Amino acid sequence: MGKLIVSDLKKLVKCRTVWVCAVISFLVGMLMTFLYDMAWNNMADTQNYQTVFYFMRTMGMDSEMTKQVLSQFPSQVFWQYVNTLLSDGNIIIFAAVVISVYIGSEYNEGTFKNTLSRGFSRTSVYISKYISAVLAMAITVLSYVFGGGIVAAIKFDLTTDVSDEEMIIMVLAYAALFIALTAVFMLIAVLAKRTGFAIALSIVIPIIVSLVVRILSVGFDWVTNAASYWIFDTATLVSTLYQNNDIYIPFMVAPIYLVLSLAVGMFTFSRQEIK
Amino acid sequence: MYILETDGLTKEYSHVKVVDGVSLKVEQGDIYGFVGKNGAGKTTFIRMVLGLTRITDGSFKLFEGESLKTAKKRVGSLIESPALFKNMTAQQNLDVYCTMLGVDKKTIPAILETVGLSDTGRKKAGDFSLGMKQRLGIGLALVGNPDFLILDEPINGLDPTGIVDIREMLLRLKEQGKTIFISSHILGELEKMATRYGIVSNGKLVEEISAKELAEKCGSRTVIKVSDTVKASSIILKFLEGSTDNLECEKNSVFIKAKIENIGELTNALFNAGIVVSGITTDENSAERYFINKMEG
Repeated sequence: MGKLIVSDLKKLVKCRTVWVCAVISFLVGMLMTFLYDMAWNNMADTQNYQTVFYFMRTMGMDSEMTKQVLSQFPSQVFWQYVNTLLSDGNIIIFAAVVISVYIGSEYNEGTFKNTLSRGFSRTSVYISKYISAVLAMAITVLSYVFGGGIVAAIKFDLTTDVSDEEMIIMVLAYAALFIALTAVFMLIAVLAKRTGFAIALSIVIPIIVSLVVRILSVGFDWVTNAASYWIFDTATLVSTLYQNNDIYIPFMVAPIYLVLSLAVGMFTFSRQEIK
Repeated sequence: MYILETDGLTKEYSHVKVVDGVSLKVEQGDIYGFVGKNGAGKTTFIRMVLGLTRITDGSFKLFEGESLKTAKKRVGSLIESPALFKNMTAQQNLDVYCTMLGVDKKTIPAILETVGLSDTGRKKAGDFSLGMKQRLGIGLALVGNPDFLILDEPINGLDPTGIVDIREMLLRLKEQGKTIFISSHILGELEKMATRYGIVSNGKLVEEISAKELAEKCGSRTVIKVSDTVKASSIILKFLEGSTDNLECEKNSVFIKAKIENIGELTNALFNAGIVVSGITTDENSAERYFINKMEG
Protein backbone atom coordinates (compact mmCIF):
# COMPACT_ATOMS: atom_id res chain seq x y z
CA MET A 1 0.00 0.00 0.00
CA GLY A 2 2.96 2.29 0.52
CA LYS A 3 3.60 2.34 -3.21
CA LEU A 4 -0.04 3.12 -3.84
CA ILE A 5 0.15 6.09 -1.49
CA VAL A 6 3.33 7.39 -3.12
CA SER A 7 1.75 7.11 -6.58
CA ASP A 8 -1.31 8.99 -5.32
CA LEU A 9 0.93 11.70 -3.92
CA LYS A 10 2.54 12.01 -7.36
CA LYS A 11 -0.93 12.43 -8.85
CA LEU A 12 -1.66 15.08 -6.23
CA VAL A 13 1.48 17.02 -7.09
CA LYS A 14 0.46 17.01 -10.73
CA CYS A 15 -3.18 17.87 -10.06
CA ARG A 16 -3.50 21.38 -11.43
CA THR A 17 -6.78 22.08 -9.68
CA VAL A 18 -5.25 21.61 -6.24
CA TRP A 19 -2.58 24.20 -6.89
CA VAL A 20 -4.88 26.64 -8.63
CA CYS A 21 -7.26 26.44 -5.67
CA ALA A 22 -4.32 26.91 -3.33
CA VAL A 23 -3.35 30.11 -5.09
CA ILE A 24 -6.92 31.36 -5.15
CA SER A 25 -7.49 30.56 -1.48
CA PHE A 26 -4.18 32.32 -0.65
CA LEU A 27 -5.32 35.43 -2.50
CA VAL A 28 -8.82 35.30 -1.02
CA GLY A 29 -7.30 34.96 2.43
CA MET A 30 -5.31 38.12 1.80
CA LEU A 31 -8.33 39.91 0.39
CA MET A 32 -10.55 38.96 3.33
CA THR A 33 -7.97 40.32 5.72
CA PHE A 34 -7.85 43.63 3.89
CA LEU A 35 -11.63 43.80 3.97
CA TYR A 36 -11.84 42.91 7.66
CA ASP A 37 -9.20 45.52 8.42
CA MET A 38 -11.17 48.18 6.57
CA ALA A 39 -14.39 47.17 8.31
CA TRP A 40 -12.87 47.19 11.75
CA ASN A 41 -11.15 50.50 11.23
CA ASN A 42 -14.54 51.96 10.43
CA MET A 43 -16.20 50.48 13.48
CA ALA A 44 -15.32 53.42 15.67
CA ASP A 45 -18.25 55.06 13.89
CA THR A 46 -21.41 53.95 15.73
CA GLN A 47 -23.46 53.61 12.57
CA ASN A 48 -20.90 51.33 10.96
CA TYR A 49 -20.68 49.29 14.17
CA GLN A 50 -24.42 48.72 14.04
CA THR A 51 -24.21 47.78 10.36
CA VAL A 52 -21.58 45.16 11.09
CA PHE A 53 -23.53 44.01 14.15
CA TYR A 54 -26.70 43.39 12.15
CA PHE A 55 -24.71 41.83 9.34
CA MET A 56 -23.21 39.30 11.72
CA ARG A 57 -26.65 38.63 13.21
CA THR A 58 -28.06 37.85 9.80
CA MET A 59 -25.16 35.45 9.25
CA GLY A 60 -26.56 33.43 12.17
CA MET A 61 -24.66 34.58 15.22
CA ASP A 62 -26.80 35.25 18.29
CA SER A 63 -26.65 38.71 19.82
CA GLU A 64 -24.52 37.73 22.83
CA MET A 65 -21.98 35.92 20.69
CA THR A 66 -21.94 38.78 18.20
CA LYS A 67 -21.24 41.33 20.90
CA GLN A 68 -18.52 39.11 22.32
CA VAL A 69 -16.86 38.71 18.92
CA LEU A 70 -17.09 42.38 18.08
CA SER A 71 -15.64 43.36 21.42
CA GLN A 72 -12.49 41.48 20.54
CA PHE A 73 -12.08 42.54 16.96
CA PRO A 74 -11.20 46.21 17.38
CA SER A 75 -7.95 45.04 18.95
CA GLN A 76 -7.29 42.95 15.81
CA VAL A 77 -5.00 40.61 17.65
CA PHE A 78 -3.07 38.36 15.29
CA TRP A 79 -3.69 34.93 16.76
CA GLN A 80 -7.35 35.65 17.30
CA TYR A 81 -7.55 36.66 13.70
CA VAL A 82 -5.89 33.41 12.57
CA ASN A 83 -8.63 31.67 14.52
CA THR A 84 -11.14 33.73 12.58
CA LEU A 85 -9.57 32.59 9.31
CA LEU A 86 -9.69 28.93 10.31
CA SER A 87 -13.37 29.18 11.19
CA ASP A 88 -14.22 31.02 7.99
CA GLY A 89 -16.77 29.23 5.79
CA ASN A 90 -14.72 30.13 2.68
CA ILE A 91 -12.16 27.48 3.62
CA ILE A 92 -14.84 24.82 3.60
CA ILE A 93 -16.00 25.85 0.12
CA PHE A 94 -12.43 25.76 -1.24
CA ALA A 95 -11.85 22.41 0.41
CA ALA A 96 -15.10 21.05 -1.06
CA VAL A 97 -14.01 22.05 -4.56
CA VAL A 98 -10.50 20.62 -4.20
CA ILE A 99 -11.54 17.25 -2.78
CA SER A 100 -14.42 16.91 -5.26
CA VAL A 101 -12.16 17.58 -8.23
CA TYR A 102 -9.30 15.45 -6.93
CA ILE A 103 -11.52 12.40 -6.39
CA GLY A 104 -14.05 13.12 -9.12
CA SER A 105 -11.40 13.38 -11.82
CA GLU A 106 -10.50 9.71 -11.31
CA TYR A 107 -14.09 8.85 -12.15
CA ASN A 108 -14.30 11.34 -15.02
CA GLU A 109 -11.03 10.18 -16.60
CA GLY A 110 -11.62 6.51 -15.76
CA THR A 111 -8.22 6.14 -14.14
CA PHE A 112 -9.55 4.12 -11.22
CA LYS A 113 -9.91 1.14 -13.55
CA ASN A 114 -6.17 1.09 -14.26
CA THR A 115 -5.43 0.84 -10.55
CA LEU A 116 -8.15 -1.63 -9.63
CA SER A 117 -7.40 -3.96 -12.54
CA ARG A 118 -3.89 -4.49 -11.20
CA GLY A 119 -5.02 -6.43 -8.14
CA PHE A 120 -5.18 -3.70 -5.52
CA SER A 121 -8.08 -4.10 -3.12
CA ARG A 122 -10.76 -1.46 -3.18
CA THR A 123 -10.12 -0.75 0.49
CA SER A 124 -6.45 -0.01 -0.04
CA VAL A 125 -7.22 2.18 -3.06
CA TYR A 126 -9.79 4.12 -1.03
CA ILE A 127 -7.52 4.60 1.99
CA SER A 128 -4.61 5.65 -0.19
CA LYS A 129 -6.76 8.18 -1.98
CA TYR A 130 -8.06 9.48 1.35
CA ILE A 131 -4.56 10.03 2.71
CA SER A 132 -3.57 12.08 -0.32
CA ALA A 133 -6.90 13.95 -0.10
CA VAL A 134 -6.05 14.96 3.49
CA LEU A 135 -2.85 16.46 2.14
CA ALA A 136 -4.85 18.31 -0.52
CA MET A 137 -7.09 19.68 2.24
CA ALA A 138 -4.05 20.75 4.26
CA ILE A 139 -2.60 22.59 1.25
CA THR A 140 -5.88 24.43 0.70
CA VAL A 141 -6.44 25.37 4.35
CA LEU A 142 -2.86 26.45 4.98
CA SER A 143 -2.82 28.54 1.80
CA TYR A 144 -5.87 30.44 3.00
CA VAL A 145 -4.43 30.92 6.48
CA PHE A 146 -1.00 31.94 5.16
CA GLY A 147 -2.54 34.43 2.75
CA GLY A 148 -4.60 36.04 5.45
CA GLY A 149 -1.88 35.58 8.03
CA ILE A 150 0.74 37.44 6.01
CA VAL A 151 -1.48 40.51 5.70
CA ALA A 152 -2.58 40.18 9.32
CA ALA A 153 1.04 39.97 10.47
CA ILE A 154 1.73 43.28 8.73
CA LYS A 155 -1.42 45.10 9.75
CA PHE A 156 -2.40 43.68 13.11
CA ASP A 157 -1.00 43.66 16.60
CA LEU A 158 1.31 40.66 17.00
CA THR A 159 0.80 40.35 20.73
CA THR A 160 -1.53 37.75 21.99
CA ASP A 161 -3.49 37.01 25.06
CA VAL A 162 -3.98 33.43 23.95
CA SER A 163 -2.10 30.88 26.01
CA ASP A 164 0.04 28.20 24.36
CA GLU A 165 -2.33 25.59 25.71
CA GLU A 166 -5.33 27.29 24.14
CA MET A 167 -3.55 27.62 20.79
CA ILE A 168 -2.51 23.96 20.78
CA ILE A 169 -6.01 22.77 21.68
CA MET A 170 -7.61 24.97 19.03
CA VAL A 171 -5.14 23.87 16.33
CA LEU A 172 -5.73 20.21 17.20
CA ALA A 173 -9.50 20.77 17.10
CA TYR A 174 -9.29 22.37 13.66
CA ALA A 175 -6.97 19.61 12.45
CA ALA A 176 -9.37 16.91 13.65
CA LEU A 177 -12.33 18.65 12.02
CA PHE A 178 -10.60 19.17 8.67
CA ILE A 179 -9.39 15.57 8.60
CA ALA A 180 -12.98 14.47 9.20
CA LEU A 181 -14.30 16.93 6.62
CA THR A 182 -11.94 15.41 4.06
CA ALA A 183 -13.60 12.03 4.65
CA VAL A 184 -17.04 13.61 4.31
CA PHE A 185 -16.21 15.38 1.04
CA MET A 186 -14.58 12.21 -0.28
CA LEU A 187 -17.71 10.23 0.52
CA ILE A 188 -19.81 12.79 -1.35
CA ALA A 189 -17.45 12.58 -4.36
CA VAL A 190 -17.64 8.77 -4.38
CA LEU A 191 -21.43 8.87 -4.23
CA ALA A 192 -21.62 11.53 -6.94
CA LYS A 193 -19.05 9.89 -9.26
CA ARG A 194 -18.76 13.08 -11.26
CA THR A 195 -16.74 16.18 -10.44
CA GLY A 196 -19.43 18.78 -11.10
CA PHE A 197 -22.10 16.89 -9.22
CA ALA A 198 -19.72 16.31 -6.30
CA ILE A 199 -18.89 20.02 -6.06
CA ALA A 200 -22.55 20.93 -6.14
CA LEU A 201 -23.46 18.46 -3.42
CA SER A 202 -20.50 19.41 -1.24
CA ILE A 203 -21.48 23.06 -1.29
CA VAL A 204 -25.25 22.74 -1.22
CA ILE A 205 -25.60 20.13 1.54
CA PRO A 206 -23.87 22.23 4.25
CA ILE A 207 -25.77 25.35 3.22
CA ILE A 208 -29.17 23.68 3.20
CA VAL A 209 -28.71 21.90 6.50
CA SER A 210 -27.39 25.07 8.15
CA LEU A 211 -30.36 26.99 6.78
CA VAL A 212 -32.80 24.39 8.11
CA VAL A 213 -31.08 24.53 11.50
CA ARG A 214 -31.37 28.31 11.62
CA ILE A 215 -35.04 28.22 10.76
CA LEU A 216 -35.81 25.50 13.28
CA SER A 217 -33.73 27.14 16.03
CA VAL A 218 -36.21 30.04 16.04
CA GLY A 219 -38.78 27.74 17.60
CA PHE A 220 -36.62 25.04 19.17
CA ASP A 221 -33.68 25.88 21.44
CA TRP A 222 -32.31 22.36 21.32
CA VAL A 223 -31.78 22.75 17.58
CA THR A 224 -29.35 25.61 18.25
CA ASN A 225 -27.34 23.33 20.50
CA ALA A 226 -27.56 20.48 18.01
CA ALA A 227 -26.01 22.72 15.34
CA SER A 228 -22.68 22.38 17.15
CA TYR A 229 -22.69 18.72 16.15
CA TRP A 230 -23.18 19.38 12.43
CA ILE A 231 -19.55 19.24 11.38
CA PHE A 232 -19.78 22.10 8.87
CA ASP A 233 -20.98 24.38 11.67
CA THR A 234 -18.65 22.89 14.26
CA ALA A 235 -15.72 23.94 12.11
CA THR A 236 -16.86 27.57 12.28
CA LEU A 237 -17.57 27.55 16.03
CA VAL A 238 -14.32 26.25 17.54
CA SER A 239 -13.40 29.51 19.22
CA THR A 240 -16.89 29.98 20.67
CA LEU A 241 -16.98 26.40 21.87
CA TYR A 242 -13.64 26.91 23.62
CA GLN A 243 -14.90 30.00 25.37
CA ASN A 244 -18.06 28.18 26.47
CA ASN A 245 -15.98 25.24 27.80
CA ASP A 246 -17.46 23.01 25.09
CA ILE A 247 -14.18 22.39 23.25
CA TYR A 248 -14.74 18.64 23.71
CA ILE A 249 -17.41 18.83 21.00
CA PRO A 250 -15.03 19.06 18.01
CA PHE A 251 -12.98 16.16 19.42
CA MET A 252 -16.17 14.15 19.73
CA VAL A 253 -17.73 15.16 16.41
CA ALA A 254 -14.63 14.70 14.24
CA PRO A 255 -13.98 10.99 14.92
CA ILE A 256 -17.65 10.12 14.50
CA TYR A 257 -17.90 11.81 11.11
CA LEU A 258 -14.50 10.41 10.11
CA VAL A 259 -15.33 6.81 10.93
CA LEU A 260 -18.84 6.94 9.50
CA SER A 261 -17.74 8.66 6.28
CA LEU A 262 -14.84 6.27 5.73
CA ALA A 263 -16.99 3.23 6.46
CA VAL A 264 -19.84 4.27 4.18
CA GLY A 265 -17.40 5.47 1.53
CA MET A 266 -15.42 2.22 1.47
CA PHE A 267 -18.59 0.16 1.38
CA THR A 268 -19.96 2.20 -1.50
CA PHE A 269 -16.68 2.12 -3.40
CA SER A 270 -16.33 -1.64 -2.93
CA ARG A 271 -19.66 -2.25 -4.62
CA GLN A 272 -19.42 0.29 -7.41
CA GLU A 273 -19.06 -0.57 -11.05
CA ILE A 274 -15.94 1.20 -12.15
CA LYS A 275 -16.08 2.54 -15.68
CA MET B 1 -1.12 -24.01 -19.26
CA TYR B 2 -4.30 -21.99 -19.32
CA ILE B 3 -3.80 -18.36 -18.48
CA LEU B 4 -7.52 -17.66 -18.24
CA GLU B 5 -10.33 -20.10 -17.67
CA THR B 6 -13.90 -19.00 -17.19
CA ASP B 7 -16.74 -21.20 -16.13
CA GLY B 8 -20.28 -20.04 -16.79
CA LEU B 9 -19.44 -16.39 -16.31
CA THR B 10 -22.66 -14.40 -16.22
CA LYS B 11 -23.60 -10.79 -15.71
CA GLU B 12 -27.16 -9.68 -15.31
CA TYR B 13 -28.56 -6.17 -15.19
CA SER B 14 -32.23 -5.84 -14.26
CA HIS B 15 -32.96 -9.42 -15.34
CA VAL B 16 -31.17 -8.95 -18.64
CA LYS B 17 -28.13 -11.17 -19.12
CA VAL B 18 -25.50 -9.19 -20.94
CA VAL B 19 -23.00 -12.01 -20.45
CA ASP B 20 -24.61 -15.41 -20.35
CA GLY B 21 -22.70 -18.43 -19.14
CA VAL B 22 -19.45 -17.80 -21.00
CA SER B 23 -16.95 -20.62 -20.54
CA LEU B 24 -13.69 -20.25 -22.40
CA LYS B 25 -10.02 -21.02 -22.06
CA VAL B 26 -7.03 -18.98 -23.13
CA GLU B 27 -3.88 -20.98 -23.51
CA GLN B 28 -0.44 -19.63 -22.77
CA GLY B 29 1.10 -18.02 -25.82
CA ASP B 30 -2.22 -17.51 -27.61
CA ILE B 31 -3.45 -14.37 -29.20
CA TYR B 32 -7.09 -14.95 -28.41
CA GLY B 33 -9.48 -12.94 -30.55
CA PHE B 34 -12.74 -12.25 -28.77
CA VAL B 35 -15.16 -11.39 -31.52
CA GLY B 36 -18.65 -9.99 -31.38
CA LYS B 37 -20.88 -7.17 -32.51
CA ASN B 38 -21.21 -3.97 -30.53
CA GLY B 39 -23.19 -4.72 -27.40
CA ALA B 40 -22.47 -8.44 -27.51
CA GLY B 41 -21.00 -8.40 -24.00
CA LYS B 42 -17.28 -8.39 -24.78
CA THR B 43 -16.35 -5.43 -22.60
CA THR B 44 -18.58 -6.56 -19.74
CA PHE B 45 -16.88 -9.97 -19.83
CA ILE B 46 -13.47 -8.33 -19.62
CA ARG B 47 -14.57 -6.03 -16.80
CA MET B 48 -15.71 -9.04 -14.78
CA VAL B 49 -12.36 -10.75 -15.23
CA LEU B 50 -10.54 -7.59 -14.14
CA GLY B 51 -12.75 -7.07 -11.10
CA LEU B 52 -14.34 -3.84 -12.26
CA THR B 53 -17.84 -5.32 -12.37
CA ARG B 54 -19.39 -7.74 -9.95
CA ILE B 55 -20.08 -11.21 -11.28
CA THR B 56 -23.67 -12.41 -11.16
CA ASP B 57 -22.82 -16.06 -11.60
CA GLY B 58 -19.94 -18.29 -12.62
CA SER B 59 -16.27 -18.08 -11.89
CA PHE B 60 -12.90 -17.66 -13.49
CA LYS B 61 -9.28 -18.58 -12.82
CA LEU B 62 -6.09 -16.82 -13.80
CA PHE B 63 -2.80 -18.66 -14.21
CA GLU B 64 -4.40 -21.95 -13.24
CA GLY B 65 -5.88 -20.85 -9.94
CA GLU B 66 -3.20 -18.50 -8.66
CA SER B 67 -4.44 -16.10 -5.98
CA LEU B 68 -6.27 -13.29 -7.78
CA LYS B 69 -4.35 -10.61 -5.94
CA THR B 70 -0.99 -11.86 -7.20
CA ALA B 71 -2.34 -13.04 -10.54
CA LYS B 72 -3.69 -9.63 -11.43
CA LYS B 73 -0.27 -8.11 -10.96
CA ARG B 74 0.76 -10.24 -13.94
CA VAL B 75 -2.09 -8.87 -16.04
CA GLY B 76 -1.99 -5.65 -18.01
CA SER B 77 -5.11 -4.25 -19.59
CA LEU B 78 -6.60 -1.61 -21.80
CA ILE B 79 -10.34 -1.32 -21.37
CA GLU B 80 -12.36 0.73 -23.84
CA SER B 81 -10.85 4.19 -24.10
CA PRO B 82 -7.43 4.63 -22.50
CA ALA B 83 -7.55 6.19 -19.05
CA LEU B 84 -4.76 8.71 -18.86
CA PHE B 85 -3.76 11.56 -16.60
CA LYS B 86 -4.28 14.29 -19.13
CA ASN B 87 -2.11 16.91 -17.48
CA MET B 88 0.89 14.59 -17.41
CA THR B 89 3.29 13.63 -20.17
CA ALA B 90 3.58 10.06 -21.43
CA GLN B 91 6.65 9.55 -19.27
CA GLN B 92 4.91 10.90 -16.17
CA ASN B 93 1.87 8.70 -16.76
CA LEU B 94 4.12 5.65 -16.92
CA ASP B 95 6.06 6.89 -13.90
CA VAL B 96 2.92 6.93 -11.76
CA TYR B 97 2.15 3.32 -12.62
CA CYS B 98 5.75 2.22 -12.19
CA THR B 99 5.64 3.72 -8.68
CA MET B 100 2.33 2.06 -7.95
CA LEU B 101 3.55 -1.37 -9.05
CA GLY B 102 7.05 -1.04 -7.64
CA VAL B 103 8.61 -1.30 -11.07
CA ASP B 104 11.99 0.20 -11.94
CA LYS B 105 11.57 3.46 -13.84
CA LYS B 106 14.41 2.45 -16.15
CA THR B 107 11.85 0.35 -18.01
CA ILE B 108 9.95 3.48 -19.12
CA PRO B 109 12.10 4.33 -22.17
CA ALA B 110 11.75 0.75 -23.46
CA ILE B 111 7.97 0.89 -23.06
CA LEU B 112 7.80 4.23 -24.86
CA GLU B 113 9.96 2.75 -27.63
CA THR B 114 7.69 -0.31 -27.90
CA VAL B 115 4.55 1.77 -28.33
CA GLY B 116 6.20 4.40 -30.52
CA LEU B 117 5.96 7.37 -28.15
CA SER B 118 9.64 8.01 -27.49
CA ASP B 119 9.59 11.48 -28.98
CA THR B 120 6.52 12.99 -27.29
CA GLY B 121 8.73 14.97 -24.91
CA ARG B 122 6.79 17.37 -22.72
CA LYS B 123 3.52 17.08 -24.60
CA LYS B 124 0.68 16.41 -22.22
CA ALA B 125 -1.41 13.29 -22.72
CA GLY B 126 -4.50 15.48 -22.99
CA ASP B 127 -3.07 16.94 -26.21
CA PHE B 128 -2.35 13.55 -27.79
CA SER B 129 -4.18 12.35 -30.87
CA LEU B 130 -6.50 9.37 -30.49
CA GLY B 131 -3.87 7.02 -31.86
CA MET B 132 -1.25 8.32 -29.45
CA LYS B 133 -3.65 7.91 -26.54
CA GLN B 134 -4.32 4.32 -27.59
CA ARG B 135 -0.58 3.67 -27.74
CA LEU B 136 -0.03 5.17 -24.32
CA GLY B 137 -2.91 3.08 -23.01
CA ILE B 138 -1.16 -0.02 -24.29
CA GLY B 139 2.07 1.29 -22.80
CA LEU B 140 0.41 1.55 -19.40
CA ALA B 141 -0.78 -2.02 -19.80
CA LEU B 142 2.84 -3.08 -20.40
CA VAL B 143 4.14 -1.59 -17.14
CA GLY B 144 5.52 -4.36 -14.98
CA ASN B 145 6.10 -6.66 -17.97
CA PRO B 146 2.84 -8.55 -17.50
CA ASP B 147 2.52 -12.09 -18.79
CA PHE B 148 -1.08 -11.62 -19.87
CA LEU B 149 -2.48 -8.67 -21.79
CA ILE B 150 -6.19 -7.99 -22.04
CA LEU B 151 -6.90 -5.41 -24.72
CA ASP B 152 -10.42 -4.21 -25.37
CA GLU B 153 -10.75 -2.71 -28.85
CA PRO B 154 -7.14 -1.50 -28.98
CA ILE B 155 -7.24 -0.45 -32.62
CA ASN B 156 -10.44 1.60 -32.45
CA GLY B 157 -10.01 4.99 -34.00
CA LEU B 158 -6.52 4.32 -35.33
CA ASP B 159 -5.43 5.23 -38.83
CA PRO B 160 -4.14 2.44 -41.10
CA THR B 161 -0.53 3.09 -40.15
CA GLY B 162 -1.43 2.96 -36.48
CA ILE B 163 -3.31 -0.28 -36.95
CA VAL B 164 -0.32 -1.88 -38.63
CA ASP B 165 1.98 -0.62 -35.88
CA ILE B 166 -0.21 -2.03 -33.14
CA ARG B 167 -0.57 -5.34 -34.93
CA GLU B 168 3.18 -5.68 -35.38
CA MET B 169 3.73 -4.71 -31.77
CA LEU B 170 1.31 -7.36 -30.57
CA LEU B 171 2.94 -10.00 -32.73
CA ARG B 172 6.33 -9.04 -31.27
CA LEU B 173 4.90 -9.31 -27.76
CA LYS B 174 3.59 -12.76 -28.59
CA GLU B 175 7.05 -13.77 -29.71
CA GLN B 176 8.32 -12.58 -26.33
CA GLY B 177 6.05 -15.14 -24.74
CA LYS B 178 3.10 -12.99 -23.77
CA THR B 179 -0.46 -14.20 -23.95
CA ILE B 180 -2.86 -11.69 -25.41
CA PHE B 181 -6.63 -11.54 -25.17
CA ILE B 182 -7.95 -9.02 -27.64
CA SER B 183 -11.54 -8.11 -28.18
CA SER B 184 -12.54 -6.44 -31.39
CA HIS B 185 -15.21 -6.16 -34.01
CA ILE B 186 -12.63 -5.43 -36.73
CA LEU B 187 -12.39 -8.95 -38.09
CA GLY B 188 -9.86 -8.29 -40.81
CA GLU B 189 -7.21 -7.22 -38.32
CA LEU B 190 -7.90 -10.05 -35.91
CA GLU B 191 -7.48 -12.56 -38.72
CA LYS B 192 -3.93 -11.34 -39.22
CA MET B 193 -2.80 -12.09 -35.68
CA ALA B 194 -5.17 -14.25 -33.65
CA THR B 195 -4.34 -17.87 -33.03
CA ARG B 196 -7.71 -18.67 -31.51
CA TYR B 197 -11.13 -17.08 -31.53
CA GLY B 198 -14.11 -16.87 -29.26
CA ILE B 199 -17.24 -15.70 -31.01
CA VAL B 200 -19.83 -14.09 -28.80
CA SER B 201 -23.37 -13.12 -29.67
CA ASN B 202 -25.99 -11.63 -27.34
CA GLY B 203 -23.82 -12.44 -24.35
CA LYS B 204 -23.35 -16.09 -25.24
CA LEU B 205 -20.18 -17.75 -26.44
CA VAL B 206 -21.31 -19.18 -29.74
CA GLU B 207 -18.10 -20.91 -30.73
CA GLU B 208 -14.45 -21.27 -29.94
CA ILE B 209 -12.27 -22.08 -32.88
CA SER B 210 -8.57 -22.09 -33.59
CA ALA B 211 -7.14 -20.09 -36.45
CA LYS B 212 -6.12 -23.30 -38.18
CA GLU B 213 -9.63 -24.72 -37.94
CA LEU B 214 -11.01 -21.45 -39.22
CA ALA B 215 -8.67 -21.50 -42.20
CA GLU B 216 -9.71 -25.05 -42.97
CA LYS B 217 -13.36 -24.09 -42.78
CA CYS B 218 -12.96 -20.90 -44.76
CA GLY B 219 -9.79 -20.11 -46.65
CA SER B 220 -9.99 -18.60 -50.05
CA ARG B 221 -12.96 -19.67 -52.19
CA THR B 222 -13.79 -19.61 -55.87
CA VAL B 223 -17.34 -18.51 -56.55
CA ILE B 224 -19.01 -19.59 -59.79
CA LYS B 225 -22.42 -18.16 -60.64
CA VAL B 226 -24.38 -20.75 -62.60
CA SER B 227 -27.88 -21.31 -63.91
CA ASP B 228 -28.28 -24.72 -62.21
CA THR B 229 -26.36 -25.21 -58.95
CA VAL B 230 -27.35 -28.87 -58.47
CA LYS B 231 -26.15 -30.00 -61.87
CA ALA B 232 -23.10 -27.74 -61.67
CA SER B 233 -22.13 -29.17 -58.27
CA SER B 234 -22.00 -32.74 -59.55
CA ILE B 235 -19.90 -31.71 -62.55
CA ILE B 236 -17.51 -29.72 -60.38
CA LEU B 237 -17.16 -32.60 -57.92
CA LYS B 238 -16.26 -35.00 -60.73
CA PHE B 239 -13.84 -32.42 -62.13
CA LEU B 240 -12.09 -31.83 -58.82
CA GLU B 241 -12.33 -35.46 -57.69
CA GLY B 242 -12.96 -33.97 -54.28
CA SER B 243 -15.46 -34.45 -51.48
CA THR B 244 -18.67 -32.55 -50.86
CA ASP B 245 -16.90 -30.79 -47.99
CA ASN B 246 -15.24 -28.57 -50.54
CA LEU B 247 -18.48 -27.33 -52.03
CA GLU B 248 -21.21 -25.09 -50.82
CA CYS B 249 -24.21 -23.90 -52.77
CA GLU B 250 -26.11 -20.73 -52.14
CA LYS B 251 -28.84 -19.38 -54.38
CA ASN B 252 -27.28 -19.44 -57.85
CA SER B 253 -23.65 -19.64 -56.73
CA VAL B 254 -21.35 -22.53 -56.09
CA PHE B 255 -18.54 -21.92 -53.61
CA ILE B 256 -15.47 -24.08 -54.10
CA LYS B 257 -12.92 -24.29 -51.29
CA ALA B 258 -10.47 -26.43 -53.17
CA LYS B 259 -7.75 -25.05 -55.40
CA ILE B 260 -8.72 -25.04 -59.09
CA GLU B 261 -5.77 -25.73 -61.37
CA ASN B 262 -7.53 -25.12 -64.68
CA ILE B 263 -10.62 -22.98 -64.42
CA GLY B 264 -10.91 -22.92 -68.21
CA GLU B 265 -11.46 -26.67 -68.47
CA LEU B 266 -14.04 -26.51 -65.70
CA THR B 267 -16.05 -23.80 -67.37
CA ASN B 268 -15.93 -25.78 -70.66
CA ALA B 269 -17.26 -28.80 -68.82
CA LEU B 270 -20.09 -26.74 -67.38
CA PHE B 271 -20.88 -25.22 -70.77
CA ASN B 272 -20.91 -28.61 -72.46
CA ALA B 273 -23.43 -29.77 -69.85
CA GLY B 274 -25.70 -26.91 -70.80
CA ILE B 275 -25.02 -24.83 -67.68
CA VAL B 276 -24.75 -21.10 -68.15
CA VAL B 277 -21.81 -19.59 -66.22
CA SER B 278 -22.50 -15.93 -65.51
CA GLY B 279 -19.50 -15.12 -63.33
CA ILE B 280 -16.34 -16.44 -61.69
CA THR B 281 -14.75 -14.62 -58.70
CA THR B 282 -12.42 -15.33 -55.81
CA ASP B 283 -13.85 -14.73 -52.36
CA GLU B 284 -11.13 -13.75 -49.85
CA ASN B 285 -13.47 -12.74 -47.07
CA SER B 286 -14.98 -16.02 -46.24
CA ALA B 287 -13.68 -15.88 -42.67
CA GLU B 288 -15.52 -12.60 -42.23
CA ARG B 289 -18.69 -14.19 -43.52
CA TYR B 290 -18.14 -17.09 -41.16
CA PHE B 291 -17.89 -14.77 -38.18
CA ILE B 292 -20.88 -12.73 -39.24
CA ASN B 293 -22.99 -15.83 -39.69
CA LYS B 294 -22.00 -17.02 -36.25
CA MET B 295 -22.57 -13.65 -34.61
CA GLU B 296 -25.97 -13.31 -36.17
CA GLY B 297 -26.89 -16.86 -35.25
